[in-house]
Amino acid sequence: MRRAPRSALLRAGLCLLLPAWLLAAGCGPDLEIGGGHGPVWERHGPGHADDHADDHAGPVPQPVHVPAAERWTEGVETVPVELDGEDFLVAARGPHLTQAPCTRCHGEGLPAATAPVPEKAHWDVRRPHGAAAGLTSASCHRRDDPAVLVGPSGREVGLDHAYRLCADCHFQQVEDWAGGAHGKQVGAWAGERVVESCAACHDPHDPGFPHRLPATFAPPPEGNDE
Amino acid sequence: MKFWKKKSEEGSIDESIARASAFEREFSRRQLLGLLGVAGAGAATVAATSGCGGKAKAVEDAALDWETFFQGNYRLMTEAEKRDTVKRLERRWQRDHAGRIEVSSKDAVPGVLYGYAFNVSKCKGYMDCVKACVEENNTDRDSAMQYIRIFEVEEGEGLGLHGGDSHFFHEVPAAGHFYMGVQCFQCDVPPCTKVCPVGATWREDDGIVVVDYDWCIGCRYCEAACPYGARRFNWSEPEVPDDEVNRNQHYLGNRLRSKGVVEKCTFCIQRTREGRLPACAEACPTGARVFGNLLDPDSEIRWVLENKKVFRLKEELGTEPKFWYFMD
Repeated sequence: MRRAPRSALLRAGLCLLLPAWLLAAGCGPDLEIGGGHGPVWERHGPGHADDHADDHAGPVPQPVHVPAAERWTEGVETVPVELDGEDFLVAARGPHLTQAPCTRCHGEGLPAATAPVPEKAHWDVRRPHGAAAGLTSASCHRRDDPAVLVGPSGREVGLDHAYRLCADCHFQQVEDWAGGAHGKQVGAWAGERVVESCAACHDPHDPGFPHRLPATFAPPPEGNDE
Repeated sequence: MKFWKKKSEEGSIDESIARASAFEREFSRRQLLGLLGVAGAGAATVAATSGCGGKAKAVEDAALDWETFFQGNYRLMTEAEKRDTVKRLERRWQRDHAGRIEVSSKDAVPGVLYGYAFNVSKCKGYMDCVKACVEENNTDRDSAMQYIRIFEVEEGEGLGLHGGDSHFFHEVPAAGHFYMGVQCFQCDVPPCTKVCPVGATWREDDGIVVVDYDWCIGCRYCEAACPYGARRFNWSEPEVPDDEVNRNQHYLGNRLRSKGVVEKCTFCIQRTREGRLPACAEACPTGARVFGNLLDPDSEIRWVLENKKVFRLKEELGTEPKFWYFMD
């Protein structure tokens, strides 16, 4: 009989405290998995109690310096890019061009789109890119100097900054590329950020990826531990 | 504090485990045996210089065997012991093979936590990553051991591996299918390290889960504990032709393993601790693989995590994998 009032008190206390806690916790229980400490990197960030940076004097340098990381991008010719608030380097196209400068042949400018294409001129260039939409060479190349790119927006850019031309249509992809979700970083995760240009992976005239056999295969599990 | 969060400061749990463990108590005995070994090697050198040249190799082999036999757990080694250990590995290679290998014992770079993101809408199943991984990590060619599995999943099956096929070999990408790569996710709360009865596997400060192949007893508990099937076991002596051996190695990474030990993806620890991208990320022809430092707010990986819809496999287990999937 002596316990009854105590448990009643406890219940009353719970009734008061539980909603108060729920409100304080942000309108409902915290359903985050893994202890509810926020993202993994915040748990290990500079100044965190669990972080080993505490063992060293001073804050962790940002960005982290990895000695000699620049050797992994050594020899890569780059041009600086400032796009969507990101500053980085893009691998230049120059070293990959086999027929530059275009004016060597096209001194007179591009022939008219309706002109017959001479046999064997750019025999290796297939141009399914935008063919259905009626794109022609002059949709992206300036007529009097094909090395100058000019797209629907009318802005003229050099081959090293072709991403600006691509962005006229593929703005979402270029935004992802500037951030890091599209495209490839060159060589190193550390040091200055160098990324591949659009044309390093996509043939500008045929930008899709081919159907092909995989480079290798996983043999079927044969008494193996899977 | 949990065991996997290794602290190096005085009086921490790890320290006290180390103190209380047999390692500490046996240390003097081991030291003594080590000294005996050195004395033996010294005697051998004397013997070799006094004419018994044919025996010199056998004697040095015996000395190397001796020192290896009493080698401690890598995590408890001093910097000097680590250096000696990797030098011994290099020496062992050099005695039986042409050329040299370089084995690193480089520690985690402070302020780095590695993370990985995989673009499900970009991967086309080309498997260049798998090929690059095998070549980089000196995995057994005989059993075709591979750390990475690429699952071909039929559209509509859902974002998961059930119903996926990881043993396809036909022209890719197959119509109506998408591809998901799976490898060790370097969990921040790794279940595999907890079950190791000998402390041969642990989480490093930069988040990479590693194995001391010389301390592993091959019980395969970790393999069973991993919810992602990321660990591999060497059923036989791994075979890598001499000319295919990647000579740039790390003690905790791609150094040559032996029969009866467990191994796994280490995000190419021998590359990433030098600032380089893992072999798989570098080899991917479609840019489906994003790698970087989670603690650097300007890194590509952080941009992906903050701007894309990402998910992880079996997140509900609370293992906190540091490997995210995303879509364009």
